Amino acid sequence: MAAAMAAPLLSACGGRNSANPDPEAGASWDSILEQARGQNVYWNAWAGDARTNAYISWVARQVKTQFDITLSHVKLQDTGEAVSRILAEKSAGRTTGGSVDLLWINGENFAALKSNAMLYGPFVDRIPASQNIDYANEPAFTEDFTIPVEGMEIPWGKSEFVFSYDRARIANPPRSFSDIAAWARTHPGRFTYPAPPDFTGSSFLKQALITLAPANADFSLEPDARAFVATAAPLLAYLADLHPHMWRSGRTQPQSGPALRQLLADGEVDISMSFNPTETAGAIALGQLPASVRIFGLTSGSLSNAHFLAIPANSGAKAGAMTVINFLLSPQAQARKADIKIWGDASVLDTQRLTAKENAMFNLDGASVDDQDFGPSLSEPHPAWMEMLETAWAKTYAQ
Amino acid sequence: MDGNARNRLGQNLCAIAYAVRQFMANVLNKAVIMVLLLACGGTVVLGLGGVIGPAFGYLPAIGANNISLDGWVRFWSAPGIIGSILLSLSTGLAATLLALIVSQVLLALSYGRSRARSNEAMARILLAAPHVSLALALVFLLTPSGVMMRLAALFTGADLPLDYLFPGDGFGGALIFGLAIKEAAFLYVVGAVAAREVRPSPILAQTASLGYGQLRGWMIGVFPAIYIRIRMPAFIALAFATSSVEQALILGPSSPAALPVRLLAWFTNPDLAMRLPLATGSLVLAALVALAILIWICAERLAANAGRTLAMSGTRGGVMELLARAIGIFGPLIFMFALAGLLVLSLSSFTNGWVFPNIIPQSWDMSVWNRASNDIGAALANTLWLALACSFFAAVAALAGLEATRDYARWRGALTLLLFLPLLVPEATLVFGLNVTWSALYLDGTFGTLLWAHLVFALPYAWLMLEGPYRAIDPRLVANARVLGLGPFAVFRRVTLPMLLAPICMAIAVSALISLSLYLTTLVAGGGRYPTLITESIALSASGDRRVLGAMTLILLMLPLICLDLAQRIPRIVYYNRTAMTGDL
Repeated sequence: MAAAMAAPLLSACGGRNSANPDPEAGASWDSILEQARGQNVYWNAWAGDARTNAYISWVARQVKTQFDITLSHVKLQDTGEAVSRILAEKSAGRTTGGSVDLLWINGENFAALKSNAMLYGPFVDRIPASQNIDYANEPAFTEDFTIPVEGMEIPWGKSEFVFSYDRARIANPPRSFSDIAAWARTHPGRFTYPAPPDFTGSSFLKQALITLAPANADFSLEPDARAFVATAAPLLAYLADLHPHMWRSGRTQPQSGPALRQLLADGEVDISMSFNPTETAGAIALGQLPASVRIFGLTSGSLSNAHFLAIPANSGAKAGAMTVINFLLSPQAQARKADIKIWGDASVLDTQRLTAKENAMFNLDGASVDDQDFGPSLSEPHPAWMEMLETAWAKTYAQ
Repeated sequence: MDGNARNRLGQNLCAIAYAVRQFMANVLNKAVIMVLLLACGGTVVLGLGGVIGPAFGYLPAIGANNISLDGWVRFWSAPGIIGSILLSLSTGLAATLLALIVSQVLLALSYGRSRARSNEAMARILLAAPHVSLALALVFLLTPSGVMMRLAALFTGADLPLDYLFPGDGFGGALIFGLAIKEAAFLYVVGAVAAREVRPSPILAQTASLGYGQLRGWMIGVFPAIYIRIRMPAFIALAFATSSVEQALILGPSSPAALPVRLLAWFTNPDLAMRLPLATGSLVLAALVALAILIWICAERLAANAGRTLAMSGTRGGVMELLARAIGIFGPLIFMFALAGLLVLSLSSFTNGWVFPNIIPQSWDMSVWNRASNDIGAALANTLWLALACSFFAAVAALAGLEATRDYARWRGALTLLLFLPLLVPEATLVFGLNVTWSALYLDGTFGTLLWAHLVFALPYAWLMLEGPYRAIDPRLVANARVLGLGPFAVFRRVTLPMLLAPICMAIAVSALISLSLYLTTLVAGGGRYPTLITESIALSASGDRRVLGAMTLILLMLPLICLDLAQRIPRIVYYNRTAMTGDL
């Protein structure tokens, strides 16, 4: 405790990484490890999940003993906080010694930082553990929301959009969008989704957009206004039909995915949703949901994507961040992450490329999710779709 | 050297020493005034400068280098933005007006009675409670699956919650309710401090002898004197209610949401072009606060005229008296209701699965606390260091400023205005603006910057707690001490300081309380590198787990309460034999 009390005063005088130079272009991995020794790495990561936070603090203990790196978890309520901090630093002309060293990121946040040249890289080829990732057969690893990754971020885990329901309340949950609308009509006030631009709410809209759109729609390209109107028309008609039967008659919606989960726990609604198939099991283990809650997917397919790690261009501890990333992609760290008792986030490593001993680290008890339950995987549309969709949604439902 | 010469020399030396001390005191006074003026004014200029640029299209980081009105176009074309603006304005004005009425009626009806103590104790706890906690407590009480409906379900036997709209009604009723409770607690506490200076007893005795009830007597005789003293706090409450984000997020409607909530959404939007309407919106919010204050000032005029007419009419009793009696009865009940909410919310942190329709938790466990204890050490240390440093410097700076401007009323006025300016500018506007400067100078993420940022918001409150008592010191005491040969420093040390012990303790406690409660400021100025209890709590609250929020409520409530309790206890111990110096009513 005494040490903890003294820490702020000490770090008031020093603790910045501005003196650390970037790793040189051709530097060997050993020299990067050497350079990383003693660095402070500030990892900005969303902190809304107790299991993720516990996993990150385990990582911090590991990299301290293995690599002499001091890893601090900067707990974010929203990844946008870190993006905005990096932006403020750039607008102030700070090109070194930035406050963020490592970021947990994907989608629109990545697109924003990449297009504004605020990311360090390409660095992925320099991470030894990257060799165990099968980029060729996993399109989600090379295109993040259709934006080419180009080595500026490295995959860390995979997610799929799922729904959950309380088996004690309803026997057969609706398994398609048309069933959801029909079910909501017969169960007024028992269904809702988080209000966009919340991540979970937006994901619900995206999955509905892709599923309900005319067959010829191409979501990999940036849409023009006419293409958008034509493609989104079925979705907007669907929402107009659904909203009057929703929770609070659609006059208000929960602010976030976890807020919706709390409504499910409180019995105010019967269906919740999240972008992590194992979140429900974790929430049951933590006592956030009753044990009778189960997950389900829609037969028409589930939105799926990967989440990544990136290093801001102005980080002052790039060698340290790269060392941490390499550790996070080790079989040991990925196996622990995939363990449903710890976190349950899917591994990004290719089992074919791991040794038998490494594969044995993965404890698959209860972690297997039957893919047939979730229909085909739906890829994320180009980020511009989401922006236009959020605007269209806001015009109808946010005024 | 003969005796006379020695005497003369002695006298001369004394005179020189006196002149030197006087000169030093003068120089010091001027220096203190200048430093404070520069520090406060500079902070506001830097903060506003940081948003004015982007508001007019200048934000080089995203390649916006030309003056343009793009931010304004985007801002005004955002769906429902007019609704958001009107909502913020109306909820801010309504909540503050309600809070002023409730706090004054409670004060009037409990003054000089035993109720005053319990009312003030309740108001202090509510003042100490973070806005987030209070809002969540109200939700937990009043929402369809909440505690009240569970009580009702005992009789109706319902096993599914009803589907009615709380919180988030379109007119912001729930938001007004939540804000009014916090502001009423604040205005009650500062009103009680002001009442101590006004000394209402003789006035009330006189109005009573003229046949006025306690309430009418208070309205006519005491309220005008109190209002002058709590006018600035009322402005602060109004500015805060109009521009604060925490309660609006939880209790406010979502379509359209209050303006600060819309700004936050732009702030966290990864599309960096949204920084332009964010900056524009920050300026609009600042203008909205100014407009709210302007409307308030106009209303003051009208109310003053109405009050004069009422006083001249000489009527006694009447409908108003009855209405006020009702407020007098329901006010404390609402305070108690809010406190009960905070209690059950805290209680939920020790439970496992406490859902509708159970009144009693299904099971108890400590898992939330066990998990929290891992993270809490460093955050607690940061929080305590910051609060200690911030409250110490705030009290010192406020005292120095008051002492330095003792003979310069105009400078004091200017200083007061500048000190309070940061409280009248929305926190978000100021902090986002300041961050540009901090980043440029590599200052963000350091303890010193964090302290600076906290002082910006804590110093005005320290000033507020000290200015009245400082002014109330009888100047004849100071004059006497000077006549008896004490220099200006010695007078300050031996007369002023001891007389001010109670308000100094209170100023320190309130500054610490402000420091504990600053979320956005800590987050931005600390670069995320100084986790404190509030930043950790709000980050963890993204989990939406009510038990985690309950644990956070309990911790965030205990610390300020300990501060306030110490602040009351210390003067009582030091001046155990001088009741008038202990600051009690």
